[in-house]
Amino acid sequence: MPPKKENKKDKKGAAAEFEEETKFQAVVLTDSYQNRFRPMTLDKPRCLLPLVNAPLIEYTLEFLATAGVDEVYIVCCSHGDQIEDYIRESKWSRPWSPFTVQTVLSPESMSVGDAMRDIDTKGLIKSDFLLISGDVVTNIQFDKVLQAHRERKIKDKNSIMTMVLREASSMHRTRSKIDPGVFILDEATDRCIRYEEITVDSTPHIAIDPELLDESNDISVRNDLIDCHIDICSADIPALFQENFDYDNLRKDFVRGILTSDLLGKTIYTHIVNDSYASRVENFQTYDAISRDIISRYTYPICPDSNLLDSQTYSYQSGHIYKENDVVLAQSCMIKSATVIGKDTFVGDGTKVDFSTIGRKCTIGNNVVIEGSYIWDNVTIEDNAIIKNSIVSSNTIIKEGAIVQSGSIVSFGVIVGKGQTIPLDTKLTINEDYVDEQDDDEESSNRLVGSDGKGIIYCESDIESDDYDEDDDSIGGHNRGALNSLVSNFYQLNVSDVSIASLSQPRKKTRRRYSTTSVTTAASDLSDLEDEEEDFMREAQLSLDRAIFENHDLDIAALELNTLRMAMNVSYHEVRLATITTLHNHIFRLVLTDTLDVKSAVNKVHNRWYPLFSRQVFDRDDQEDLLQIVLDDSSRRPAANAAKALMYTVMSFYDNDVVEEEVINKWWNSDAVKASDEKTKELLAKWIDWLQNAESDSSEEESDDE
Amino acid sequence: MSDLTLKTLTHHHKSDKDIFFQIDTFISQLKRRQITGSNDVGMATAHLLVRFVSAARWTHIDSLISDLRLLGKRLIAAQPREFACGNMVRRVLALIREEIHGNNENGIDNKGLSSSSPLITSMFNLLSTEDKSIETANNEKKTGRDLKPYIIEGIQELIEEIRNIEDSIAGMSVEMIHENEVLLTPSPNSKTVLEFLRRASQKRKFSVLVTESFPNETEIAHAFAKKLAKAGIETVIIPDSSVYAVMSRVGKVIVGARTVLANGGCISASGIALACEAAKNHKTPVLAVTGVYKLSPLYPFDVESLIEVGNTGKVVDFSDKDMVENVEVMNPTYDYVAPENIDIYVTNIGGYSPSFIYRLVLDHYSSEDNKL
Repeated sequence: MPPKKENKKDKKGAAAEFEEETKFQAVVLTDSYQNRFRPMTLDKPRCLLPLVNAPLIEYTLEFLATAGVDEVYIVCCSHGDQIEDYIRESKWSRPWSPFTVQTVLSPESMSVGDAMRDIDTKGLIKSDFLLISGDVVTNIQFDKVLQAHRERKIKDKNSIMTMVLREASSMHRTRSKIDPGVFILDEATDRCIRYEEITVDSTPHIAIDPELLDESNDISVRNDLIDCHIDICSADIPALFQENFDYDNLRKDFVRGILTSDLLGKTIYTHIVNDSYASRVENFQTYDAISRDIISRYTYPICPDSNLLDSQTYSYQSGHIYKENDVVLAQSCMIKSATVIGKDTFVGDGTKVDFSTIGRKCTIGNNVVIEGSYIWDNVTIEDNAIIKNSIVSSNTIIKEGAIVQSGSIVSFGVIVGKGQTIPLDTKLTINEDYVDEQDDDEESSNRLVGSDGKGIIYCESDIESDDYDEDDDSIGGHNRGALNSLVSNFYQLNVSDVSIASLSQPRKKTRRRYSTTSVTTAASDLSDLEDEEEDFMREAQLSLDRAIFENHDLDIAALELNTLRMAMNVSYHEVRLATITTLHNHIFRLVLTDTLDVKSAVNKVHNRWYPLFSRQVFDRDDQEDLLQIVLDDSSRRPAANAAKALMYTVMSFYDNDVVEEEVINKWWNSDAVKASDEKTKELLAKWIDWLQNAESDSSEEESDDE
Repeated sequence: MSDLTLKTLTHHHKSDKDIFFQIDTFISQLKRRQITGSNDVGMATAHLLVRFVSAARWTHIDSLISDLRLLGKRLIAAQPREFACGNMVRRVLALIREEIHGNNENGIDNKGLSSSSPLITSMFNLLSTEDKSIETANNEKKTGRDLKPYIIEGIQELIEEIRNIEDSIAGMSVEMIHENEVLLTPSPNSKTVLEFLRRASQKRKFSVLVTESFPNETEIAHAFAKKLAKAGIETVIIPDSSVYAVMSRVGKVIVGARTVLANGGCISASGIALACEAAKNHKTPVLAVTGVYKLSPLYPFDVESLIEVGNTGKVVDFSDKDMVENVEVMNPTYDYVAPENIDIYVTNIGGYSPSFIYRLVLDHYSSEDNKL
C-alpha cells in the first residue's frame, strides 16, 4: 500500500469527506495480453521498457496526473512483481503524488476481459472511471473530454463508454498497422454504431446492416483514427464483463458485442481529438513512430527535456537534440538532429549518430554509425560497428566491426561477435526457451553472432516476416515503397498475435497461431491443427447432443459452443460444421426411427435451434460457407432422404433469415452445387424457381406497402 | 525521498513535511506546464517562499541562504525557461543579504545609503568573499531568528509589487500615448499591455493593431482583441506576415516581456522580434512594458538555451502523414529581442533605457546569486 495523502486530508477535514464521493478513478492495464514485444517482454514487462529513455508507464501516469485523477489502480499480470517494485520506488508513491497508486496483481488473467472481471470481483470501482492501457502517450486536455462525456451521459442514460480517438490518416506512421479498427459513427452525436477490426484474415470489406442507415441521418465510416485505448467507462462496465464472460478483448469482443447486441441497449460514444497528441505503443512500428513523435515534440509538454523521472537532466538543443549532463562526446563525432543521449554515455571519434536514442552509461567507440536506432542503457558498441533502424536492449555488446541491419531487435544480454552481420529483421535473445527447433540453431546462431558472441535467434522472427509479407498484400495495396525504409522495416517486425497473456504461454500455442493465420505453413504444423479440430468436433457435438436431448436453453448451448471455440481457438467454420453435423445427426435419427417424416423433422429441429447460427454466421461469406457445409453433409447421408433434408434445411434457413436470398442464388450457381447429384438438384431447382418468383412478387408488394 | 536536503528543515516535523509536499507539487506543476507565464509563476514562487521561510529554522543565516539557493536551483531545473522562479528566489536572497548588511551597519540603516550599497558590496565581494562570511558569522547570534519577520515582510512586499504591477505601469500610459495614434502590439498574452492600453483609452482615443501570433497564441490574440474592443478601443487583428507592411503607419509598438535580461534585451513571445526589427527599420519607437520582477541578472550568452521550443503539432497538423514523416519542424515559443531594437522599458518604477537595465539589476539582485 502506498502512503495515503494524510496530511492533505487532515487539513481539509470535512471537505475531504465530501470529496470522497466524487473521486475520479483510473484503471491502468499494464499487460497487453499480446506478445508483440517479444523477445524483450520475456524478461521485462512491456510497460517498463524504455521509450525515449523513460519507462513506458511513466507517460501514462504523467497523463493521469494532468488529467486530475485521484486514484489509480495498476493491474499487473505478467512480471507483476517487477511493476509493483517499480511503482513502489517511483515518485508516484510519494506523499506529494497527485493521486494514490495501488497495484492490483491479477496473475491468472489471460485477457483484458479477465482483468476487468477481477476488478469487478474486488469491487474497486465506485463511479465513472478512466480505463487506459499502460502504454499510452498523450497530452490531451482531459477535462474537456470528461466534461463532454458527462454531458452526453445526461442526454443519453444508456451511454456507458466514451472512447478517445485521435484523428490521423489511415497509413499514418503512428497508427498501428496490425488489426486497425474501423469506426462507424453517427455524425451528429459521435455515437459509435459499429466497430470492426481489419484483421489479416478478414475480407477487405465491411458489411453494414441497412437498418443502421435508417436509424441516423449521417454516418461516417472512419479508418483514419488512432485508437489510443483511453476510455471513460461507467461503473457498470466491469459488471458487464462479468455477465458476458466470453468477452476478452476490449474492442473486438466488448465494444463489438455491446454494439451488436439488441438486448443490452447500451450506447458507446467516441471523442475525436484533432488538436492534441494521443497514441499507444502497440508494436515495434508504433514504438518507432511514437519515439519520433516525442523527439520532434508533437507530445509537448511531454518531451525528453521535461525529465519525467526525477533523476533525469535532459536539456534541449536546436534540431531536437537532447542531452543529459555528463555526456562525453569526442571532438570529431557528429550528433545529427533528433537525437537523445543519456547520462554518462561516451561517444567516440568520427562516430555518426542520426535520429537515434541512446540510453545511459553506453560506450560507443570510434567511427560507429548509428541511424534511426534505439540503444538502451549500458550498451557497449565497439569501433566501426554499424547499427541501422534497430533496437538494441540493455546490457548488450556489439563488437568491433559488427553490422546490425535494419529492423533487427537485439534483446537483453546479447553479444554480437566481431565482424558479424546480423541480417534484416532478426530478433536475437539469450533466452533459450524460445529457439526455433527446426533450425539446427546451435550452429546457425553461432554463425550469426560469431564464436565470441552470445545469443540465438528468437524463433518467431523468420516465420513472422514471411507471414507478414503476405498479410501486406491481403490488407490491400499497401505500398511498401511509399513508406520510408525504417518504418517499413519496423512494420515487417510486427508480430500478429492472439489474446494470450505474455506470461507463461506454452510454446505449442505460438506454433498453432502460424497455422491459423498464415497460408504458407510447414506440414508438421498442420497435423497439430487437425488434432485440435477433431477435438473440437467431438467436444462440440457432445455438448450440442446434450443440449438437444436435455432440451437446454438456447443461450446456454450457444455459450458452451462459444466457450469451446475460444478454448480450442478454432474458427467459426468449425463451429458451423459441428452444429450442422449434430443437428442433422439428430434429424436423421428422427427420420430413421420413423418418429417424424423428413419435412417435419427438419422443421422441428431447425425451428428450435436456428438462433444458434446468429452467433456463428455474421456476413455473406459465412452464409455461403454454411450452405456449403449443409451440402457436404447431405452427401454423406443415406441417399433416400438426403436431398429432401437438404432442401428443407435450406428452406428453413431462408424462412428464419439465417441465409439471405442472394446468397442462396449465388450458392445455387456455384460449381459445388452443380457437381452434386441429380436428385438434389432437381428438388432444389423447384424450390429456387419458386423462391425467385416469390421474391419478385413480395418485393412488389413491399414497394406497394411503402 | 526528494534529492533536496535542506538543513533548515527536517523531515520529522509535520509542518516541514507539508512544505516538502508543496515544493514537490510545485516542481511537478512547473514540469507539466500547469503553471506558466511569468506573472503566475512569479506569484506562486513568492507564495512558496513565504511558506518556506516561515517553516525554516536556522541558527546561522548562511544556512538559510544556501537552502534558498538550493531550492532556486531545483525550481530552475524543473523549467529552465520559466525565469520568474529564479528571479523571485534571487530577489529574496538579495533582500536577506541586504538585511544582514543593514544589521552590520549597526542599525544606521539609512534608505539613501542602502540603495547604493549593493553595488559596493558586490565590488567588495569580488576581492574578499571570505572576509564577509566571517563578518556575518560574527553577527550570527544577533541576526539569527529575529530576521524572519523582516524576510517574510519583504516577500509580502514583493507579492504586493507583482499584484499591483499593472496598476503602477498603466498609470504612465497616458503620457506615452498620443491622441489618434495607431499602436501595434505583437504580444496579446501580456496582461500588462492590456491594462496599459485600457487605462490610456480612458483619456485618449487611439486604435490598436494586434498581430495574430500564429500558431501558439492565436486564440489568446482573439480574446485580447475582444477585450480591447470592449474597452472602446478600435482594434484590428492583422496577420503576422503583414507587420512590416503596416509599420509605416504605426506610431508606436508596444510589447510585453517574459523576462528582461541584464544586457537590456528581452525574451518574449515568438513574433515579437520580427515586429521590433520592422519597427527599427521604420524608426518606429518600441515600448516594452514590464514589471521589475521580470528583470533577470542573466546575460544572453547562449540565446538558444533561453528559448523554449513548443508543440510541433501546432505548426503542422499531426494527421498530415507526409509532413509528419518527412519534415523536421520546430516551433519556438519565445523570441529574443536585442537591446538595440527596444527604445524604452516602461516599468513600475519608471521608464528606463535598455542600456540602464544593468544598473536596475544591480539594485535588485546581489551579484553573488547570479549563478545559484
